[in-house]
Amino acid sequence: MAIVDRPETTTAPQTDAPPQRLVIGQRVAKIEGVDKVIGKAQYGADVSRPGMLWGKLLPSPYANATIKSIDTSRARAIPGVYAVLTGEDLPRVVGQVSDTAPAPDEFDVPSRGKQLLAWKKAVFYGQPVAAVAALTPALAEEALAAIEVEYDVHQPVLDVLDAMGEGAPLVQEGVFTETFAGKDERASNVAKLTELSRGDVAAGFAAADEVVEQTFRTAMVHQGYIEPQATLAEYGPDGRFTIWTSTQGQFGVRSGVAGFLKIPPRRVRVVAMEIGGGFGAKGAQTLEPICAVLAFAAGRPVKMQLSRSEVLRATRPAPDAVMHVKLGARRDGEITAVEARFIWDVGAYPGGGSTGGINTGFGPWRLPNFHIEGLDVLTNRPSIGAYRAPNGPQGAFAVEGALNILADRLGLDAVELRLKNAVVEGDRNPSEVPYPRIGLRQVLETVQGHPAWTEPVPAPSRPGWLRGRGMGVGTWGGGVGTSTAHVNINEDGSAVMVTGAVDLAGTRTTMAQIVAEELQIPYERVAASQPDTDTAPFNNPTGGSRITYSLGTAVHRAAVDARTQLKQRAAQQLKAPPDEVEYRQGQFWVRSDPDQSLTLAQVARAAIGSGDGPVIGTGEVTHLLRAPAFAAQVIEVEVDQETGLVQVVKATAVQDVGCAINPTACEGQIQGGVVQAIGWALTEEYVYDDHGRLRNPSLLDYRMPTALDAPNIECVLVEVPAADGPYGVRGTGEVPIVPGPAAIAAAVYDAVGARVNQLPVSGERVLDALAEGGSGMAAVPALSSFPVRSAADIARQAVLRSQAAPPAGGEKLAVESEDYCAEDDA
Amino acid sequence: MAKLVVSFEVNGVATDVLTEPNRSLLEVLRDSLELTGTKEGCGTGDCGACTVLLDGRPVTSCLLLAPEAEGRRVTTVEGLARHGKLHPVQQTFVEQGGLQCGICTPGMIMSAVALLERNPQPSEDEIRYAIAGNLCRCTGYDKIVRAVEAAAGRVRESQGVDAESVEAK
Repeated sequence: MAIVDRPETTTAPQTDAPPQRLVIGQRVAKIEGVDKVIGKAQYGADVSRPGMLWGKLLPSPYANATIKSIDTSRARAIPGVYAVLTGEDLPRVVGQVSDTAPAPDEFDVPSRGKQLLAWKKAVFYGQPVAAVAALTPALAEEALAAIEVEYDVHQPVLDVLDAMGEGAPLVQEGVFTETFAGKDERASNVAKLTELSRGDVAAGFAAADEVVEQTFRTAMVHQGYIEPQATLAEYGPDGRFTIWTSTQGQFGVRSGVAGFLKIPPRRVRVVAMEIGGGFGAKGAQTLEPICAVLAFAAGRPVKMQLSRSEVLRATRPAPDAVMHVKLGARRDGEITAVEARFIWDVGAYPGGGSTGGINTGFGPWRLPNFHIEGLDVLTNRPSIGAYRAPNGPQGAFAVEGALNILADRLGLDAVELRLKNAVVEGDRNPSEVPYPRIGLRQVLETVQGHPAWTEPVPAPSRPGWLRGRGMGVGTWGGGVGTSTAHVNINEDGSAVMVTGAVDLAGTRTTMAQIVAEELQIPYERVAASQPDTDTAPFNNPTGGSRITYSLGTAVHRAAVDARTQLKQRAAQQLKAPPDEVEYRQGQFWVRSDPDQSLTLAQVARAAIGSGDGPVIGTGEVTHLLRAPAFAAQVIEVEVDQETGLVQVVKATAVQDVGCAINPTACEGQIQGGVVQAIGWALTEEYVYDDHGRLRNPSLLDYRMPTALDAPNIECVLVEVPAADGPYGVRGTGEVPIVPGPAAIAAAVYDAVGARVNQLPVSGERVLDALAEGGSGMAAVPALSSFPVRSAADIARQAVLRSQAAPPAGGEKLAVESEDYCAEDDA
Repeated sequence: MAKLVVSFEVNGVATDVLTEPNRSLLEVLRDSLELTGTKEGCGTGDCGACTVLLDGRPVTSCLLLAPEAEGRRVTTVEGLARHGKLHPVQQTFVEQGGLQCGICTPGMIMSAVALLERNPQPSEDEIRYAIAGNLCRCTGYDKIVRAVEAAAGRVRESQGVDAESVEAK
């Protein structure tokens, strides 16, 4: 391949006349749309292999129980059952696969990634305790039923505040509170304490004319993808595993499986199937490693598919949070000080990252003085995972909720209050990361001038109901990370774009638009290929709204590279200097002699057998400046006065998308996020009994919005170009879920005067709040009332003991939540 | 468990399947007939991803035992396009962005097709009601509703022609 100077991605021009674009900005149809409407698209569960077995998992019936014994002999004796594995078998199988037997204590660590099957104890209801592979699903069920497990059952720890308390039973033995200054030496259910401070908080509150102090609470919710996780694993005679799976990142699966099995990545090939929704959850590995282990142990391909109840009970939902916010402001609305404590229920294994919720919740606002604490607390519930703008909706529910109360108390317009405090370029988020060019102000000004905000609230549509309006703001820092792309030019001048990215909801289409734009060819002449990890160029998982931005940059660079190479080939073929050659929409010509011309197809065809050979453009990106996105939503609800039932009747979503490569795709992301937020706000909730058993593990009882629960959603796309990346584009997917719950709670207050600070805003809670005249939420006690040591305490201790500098790892904490995808899978 | 033969019509083709009597129509369609266009999202009739038409009426195939299909006419998403031409509902879903990940799409389309068969001029509320048994987690339903509205327009336009071609079958 020719070595060429690869032009850097240019920043979107900021001129009055927008550049003439051919394909960018067009509402082209999805590349794979037809495959999906005729039932041809192949998802995780749609693939089969000859000789395939069915794998199933035995769930723990207890949330907290020591496994005294497991007898699998009866299950093994069933004809047609090929493998029965328990936690204790895993080290042996890994040893057989890798020839390096892991030490058993390697599995005796509080890591869900290690404990694919419960290790000596079950720590949440539904946790897999054993795995089987059998000829049919029915035989596999029979085998599960034949496994005899003797448990010693303990009382589970189910509430975060209880879990933090003095003398609380430990969910895990080996967890010590991690702080900026190192780890506490006492075992605790508090896995992590994050403290962020700025300025002089006491002075800030002294300067305030009004102080709002409120407690907010949200429920554990599920991402709710309609496709349950499904994986097929096969172990080949060449010693390689092939894994077909529903995942957000095939390269992540490859490292995960290779890491677990202690084999080099070259022994694992991962094929990412079409994915039926992920929303963050399928960035983590659920079935892949255990399916590979089963396939090896059984000596046959094994297919696994979670049931819906398994999905709800035992994957990785989004954490519930208890949040205390104290906000001080001057009479004109300017915020002077903030004190906050966000307590996250991260479930039975550490990980989740509390800074994400803090930066998303407080990120939009200028805070001169603050002290904010984030705590990750273990309970006997499933360990949590990423869900669209991880921890953002919870954080924003508290912060936006407090701001809406502040606006009411000061008699200020909610948008005006926010404009007064909005961050601009150069301001810093709570983690002190400076903002590049952002569009929060433009978003707020758009709301300020929009009829959805300026027109009076219409009369309720039915008798006995009241109507109200509320608003909220959200942000997402944006995802970055590594992406690579190839653009192969075919002999007819058409192009095949090759990436290793999973297409969650439109990646192939928008990426093909970029290729078509840069090659100036029709969109229909670009094919998109996303092959397996053997053949695709590397890509970090799809998540964190990183794809259009980061993969888009790689694809843009690959397309520009291909165009540059084509121009060189054309110059060779036209016997002219390259800078004399012009190109426009499939035609090359010599500037001084336009009659000397070649078509793109002629150049491409000739290149294949001559000179430098076929044209393959490559592009890669490892790090971009973040492109934070901001959104504001105005939501109207109607509330049944008799039952308190809340219905969302209108939603207007304003969002800075930087550049709408495909407005239909942008709107689709926004509308989907708004409706997920409606579910989060009104009906979705993990309900546990006192024994820690999930009471509602079905889609009948875990109530996601239907078409009848969703309003018409108007989208207003604001385009403030990002400072980096192609065309100024910003990630679109995460932020639309963030503002909704707070906006809905504010609309309920506007309608009936009930202040509900707890999600979901059920009819019962609305009526309770009306009866009590307040939110009815108990305040969160100060940190000092819990046996939790702050970073300063730990540092002081360390000094007292004349120890050396804080252990490594403290620094890492600050950047962890800034990872491309706020998922820190152990 | 003793197997039995179930004879029914699938997408216009007479079909015999040998199956255990406790298997669902969904399992038979996907695993025996390899018609994997029909999806499983819950297995309990709550999400609608497995919706097929049984004698023209939408049913959740995960809740129907395969033997119950005996002698009936089953239409799956694979059977909608005729002679290489998409059904208007399929066409408008693609054009209007009525799908994202696509996992709910086959079931959603079957519900919409059944609606337009009995009511080619549905109101927005009627559309939302008809697809309320089909959960979608990506789109927020807005563009699906627009796609069904657009498809209804096309069905009405071509109604005469369609009636003839249905007769001819």
